[in-house]
Amino acid sequence: MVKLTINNKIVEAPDGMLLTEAAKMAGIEIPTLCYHPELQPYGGCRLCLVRIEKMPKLQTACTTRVCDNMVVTTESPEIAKARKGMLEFVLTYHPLDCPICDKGGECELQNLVFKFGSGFRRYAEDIEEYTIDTNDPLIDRELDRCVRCLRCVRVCDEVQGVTNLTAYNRGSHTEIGPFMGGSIFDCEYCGSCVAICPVGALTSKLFKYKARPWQTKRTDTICTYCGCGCQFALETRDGDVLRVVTDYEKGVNEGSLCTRGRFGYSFVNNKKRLTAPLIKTNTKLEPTSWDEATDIIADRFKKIIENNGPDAIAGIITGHCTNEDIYLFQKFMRLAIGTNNIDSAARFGYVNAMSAIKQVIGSKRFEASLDDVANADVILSISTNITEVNPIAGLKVRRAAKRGAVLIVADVQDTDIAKFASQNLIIKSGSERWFIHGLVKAVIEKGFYDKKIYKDYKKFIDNLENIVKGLSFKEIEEKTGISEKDIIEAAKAYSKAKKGVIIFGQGITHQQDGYKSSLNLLDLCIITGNIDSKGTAILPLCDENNEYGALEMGAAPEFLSGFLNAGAAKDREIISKIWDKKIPAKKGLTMPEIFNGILKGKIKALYIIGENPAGTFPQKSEFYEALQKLDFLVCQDLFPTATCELADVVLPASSFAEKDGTFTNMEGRAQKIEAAINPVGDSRPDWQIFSALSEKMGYPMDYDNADAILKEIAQVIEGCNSKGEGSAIENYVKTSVKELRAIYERKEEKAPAKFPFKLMLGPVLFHSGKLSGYSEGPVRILPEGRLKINPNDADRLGIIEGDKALLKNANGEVKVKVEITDRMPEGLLFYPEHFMYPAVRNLCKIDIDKDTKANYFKSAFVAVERHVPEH
Amino acid sequence: MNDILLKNINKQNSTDIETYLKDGGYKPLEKALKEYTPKEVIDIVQKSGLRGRGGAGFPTGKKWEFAAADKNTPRYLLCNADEGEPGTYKDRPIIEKDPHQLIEGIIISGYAIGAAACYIYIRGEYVYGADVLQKAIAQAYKKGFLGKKILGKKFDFDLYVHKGAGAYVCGEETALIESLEGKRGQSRIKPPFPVNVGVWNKPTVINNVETLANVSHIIKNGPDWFKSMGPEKCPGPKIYSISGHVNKPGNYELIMGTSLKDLIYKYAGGIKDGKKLKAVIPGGASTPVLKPEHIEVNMDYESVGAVGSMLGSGAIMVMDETVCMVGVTRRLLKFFAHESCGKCSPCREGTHWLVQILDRIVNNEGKTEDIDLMLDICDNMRGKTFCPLGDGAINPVLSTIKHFRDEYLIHIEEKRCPVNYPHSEYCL
Repeated sequence: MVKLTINNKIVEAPDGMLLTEAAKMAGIEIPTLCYHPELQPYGGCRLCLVRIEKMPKLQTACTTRVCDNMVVTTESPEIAKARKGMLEFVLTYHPLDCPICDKGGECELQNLVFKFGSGFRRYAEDIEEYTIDTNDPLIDRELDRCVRCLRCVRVCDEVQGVTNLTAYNRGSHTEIGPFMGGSIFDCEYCGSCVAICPVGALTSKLFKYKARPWQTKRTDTICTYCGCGCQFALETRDGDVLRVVTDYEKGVNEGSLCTRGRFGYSFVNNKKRLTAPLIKTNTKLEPTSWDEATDIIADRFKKIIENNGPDAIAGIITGHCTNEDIYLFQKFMRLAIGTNNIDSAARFGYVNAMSAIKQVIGSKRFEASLDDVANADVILSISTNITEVNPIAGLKVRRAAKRGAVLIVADVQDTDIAKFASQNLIIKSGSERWFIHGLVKAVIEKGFYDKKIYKDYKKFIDNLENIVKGLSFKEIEEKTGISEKDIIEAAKAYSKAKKGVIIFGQGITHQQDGYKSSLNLLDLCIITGNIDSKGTAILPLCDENNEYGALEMGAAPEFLSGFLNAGAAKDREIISKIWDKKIPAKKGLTMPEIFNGILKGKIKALYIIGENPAGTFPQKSEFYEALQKLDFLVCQDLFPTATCELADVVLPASSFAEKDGTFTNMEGRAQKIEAAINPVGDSRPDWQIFSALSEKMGYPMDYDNADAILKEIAQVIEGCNSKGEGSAIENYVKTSVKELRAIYERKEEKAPAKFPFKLMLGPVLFHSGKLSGYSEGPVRILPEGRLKINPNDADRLGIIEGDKALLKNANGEVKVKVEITDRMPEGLLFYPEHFMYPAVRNLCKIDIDKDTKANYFKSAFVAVERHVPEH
Repeated sequence: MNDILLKNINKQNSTDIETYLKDGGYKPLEKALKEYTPKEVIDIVQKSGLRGRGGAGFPTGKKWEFAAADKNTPRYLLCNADEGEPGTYKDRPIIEKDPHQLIEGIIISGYAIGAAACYIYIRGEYVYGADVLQKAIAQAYKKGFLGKKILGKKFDFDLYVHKGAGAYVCGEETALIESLEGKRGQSRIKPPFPVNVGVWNKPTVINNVETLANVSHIIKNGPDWFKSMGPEKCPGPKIYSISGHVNKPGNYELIMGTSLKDLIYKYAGGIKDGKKLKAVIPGGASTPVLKPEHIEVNMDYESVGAVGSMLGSGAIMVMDETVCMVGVTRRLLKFFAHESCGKCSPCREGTHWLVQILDRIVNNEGKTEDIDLMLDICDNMRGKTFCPLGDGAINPVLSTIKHFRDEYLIHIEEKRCPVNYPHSEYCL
């Protein structure tokens, strides 16, 4: 700390702090424009000029660091004149169009001029013409209003690491625009530039002319898209969500957002929302009252229980619901219905990672932190296009790499994050397990393992050594395309890490043997000592925002709330005691088992919340058929989906913007969401629906609000934690050689000669799930899916940009537009899973994981040809 | 005259290393490397009193000392050959006609500060100069004066030529660094100063071409020899570039502190066509204009400062009675407005605003209040811009209003040019 004097007031501040910040701490306002606490000092606008003793000239407070005995004056006639002068310069060409400028009311320049500026304009010369460009789908650029603070350019570079914006030309001709020129930003559309613009130069098309800032209400909440769990505020007016704003001091995202978070909010008020319960009369869905709809559901459920038993009913819930919703749903299914047939979207793959982690760390609550990622010294990022799938997690990786962390990226395609990587390993699709085993092999055989760990877990490491001995580096190179040297280099870097972080994504979790691969990665953490110590982390990425919560709340047949084992009587007892009702002992069914149960006639009724199997499962699959065979289908959703069309009763649910509750992000951090608007139409928060149904089922679960549920959850989870088991790793390392050998099995997938291309479906930056498709922002940027294909492949097939490709296999054929990109390796195709049409998913088949029953339908082998349009 | 820095420029094959060697070239380098430690070289240069010839006049040895004291390595030396100050062409003959003198100075300087490499940042327009330097550097490498283990000593040093892209502001040292790093040419925040955090965040010394050219002579002849020339506070030879209405414009290497009067009348042959002297810009476009009454001034940093101007780069622009001072000011301001990088608002908008007002005045559309307005704009710029470009830009306005206010008034009130010469459309 240093002591300085500002306006005769003694101020204490940390040494080296910027004078603006020190003054602010002391309650002294120094006006600024180009300064932003998130950015490096710039000193361009010169508004913060102050007098510092012993300095010949006025100094900019935003670039000056405090030191002991500094004597500062921030108010004097000289400084007032300087400020007035600087504002006059900024305003020389600035149009005085505040009444029609969308920034009016929250314009920093407007506020500054009002407070410090002159009421009179002396500039009477010609006004230059600047670019006014409204061609971009989301961002309007009106450079006559630009003050050249370059905050947009700097945030794009310093914070986002994208460097898409630049200042071009010089002097008073300086303009801001996309680096590659033109009017379209064509970037990640994180919107940081719009958010940080102090004036109306960069504005959001979606918010434009909707409201003045003082007319809106701000509600802090959490994003509903991916598992990063970013904090933002919804600005609403008369029940409409008008925009998303952030505060750089808040949340894991520290004010940054991705395009989905920033621009993907308008699904909330989309006119297509379900606004009333629907029941099927004859073949049509007709609106009805809540009372009637819930009566019908309760009646039918009761009858099915009477005739076929409670296990003839099953429920599936989305990972986009709150913890309170999910908790109440599984309680409803387990107690009001009396079955463990309950599953969630985590079954699509995230369950693999969490099951493996639970296997290793036991009853301890899993926590990883994005701060650990940002502060890591070595990051191993495996099979995730992280900047697209979980952009804010990707941002942390970028930050770490820019700071100097070693970043090793392994993926089947060339990803964006790889440009920051010290090693960019492009592995062949389907060879992920060879790669991971290669790392384990290198660590053990080259002696990179932690010496202390070796003392403790000698047996475990020796066992592993025996297992990986059978795998040669030659075979690894053959399968993965990665040389021995590269594998060893990566293994060495990760082993030597003090703060080693492993991040893995869908390429591991949503693929065959995802559970085993997750365990293998955990082995890597254990033997290198990167599992328990501070700053290390292993972080599975999840693409739905509350998949962690779905599992933790117990929306899985194998898990009770708090990850207790539903199969263990002891565990059931803990929760039964709190619930004061016995949890059924019978083993529940997982998602694929539920669908098989339907086909076998065992499951008669299905209650689906927020999932759309009819729209996402391949149509040729048995699971799709199963949906038609149900006696009774209840769908609870925001939008009328393909599954809703098959349903007997459709219930309108409220979106995240309309309810209170909590989401748990992939770090295991539970965060509060708050209702910003009243429920749209006659929709209701999910938990209220379960509550109403439970009453009619004769087991009333009555709660005043979401908070009351949270209190009960806290009680339950506390109960789980009191189980008090010792370190589970100690148990895990006792895994027998035989079992270990099983988790190191590798199955090779071979493309059939007729279908030589491997097609992968996956998430993309601008869309995830179905919500983004109902949001204007993401749809404007990316209205349709495109098949990514390697240029050489395209060349061989005679396909050029803009063409359509015909994808074929035994399951059918699909025509789809192509995007030729050298990011894809030869023989691999990628299509965004979000887009339902054209139905590329129909080419895929469903695979079921032996260990966790996770069901995968994100890949297929196909033949490709150029589609010749008919004339 | 012309007996130290420019003594080789009229020789045949002056750019060839053999010519340079024949005249005892690279002997000082040998002496420096073999007889002195780097620290001793710095001491010698400190003792000589050599001050930077780029315009600011910072003691060269001091600068070296600061950088050498920084333990962060590698260190870098940058040679500022971005000779962009209007009227200045003093570095050009050194670069184009005697490149080895510069290269030798660079190597010795690099040795002194322990630099790993030097980049000569040369203005993009000096295409020929860059070519000459490239060839000369190749010769020096061949002779073992550059590269690994120079002259058998444990001293590795590389030298590169980097061409600028045509921005005046890149002559300012931190903007030069940004440009060299491949970024937009804009000045950096100081502190930290380049001697500690310079190119690629490493300790960096930036010296002007003329400064570096002096180094080998100081090593050869000793600091006392150097100190004996010219004023005590600022000794040594100085190249003055004289342009404008003189009979013999050109570069004149003289002792620092030669009087302006001698420069114009004795060396440059006096005013052309026997006309009357009206004004002199003594140190390049950014230095205040002087009137004939100041002509006795000695051309060194202190003396020129005392009469309200600056020595700058030593580029003397002489104007006779046929020149409209409002027109000159407008022309100069157009240059500064064009070259303002746009980073800070006072310079970006101020220069542009001043040009527009001056445009009106020379077009006889000025208003009486324009003069006060310009003075106020200048006051709002003075000392408040990010880098010295803005401060330099207001000097022509302030000094011409001070010394030639009547010319402004004639333009404004009588709606005519004060100069009645056929070519007075100069002012347009």
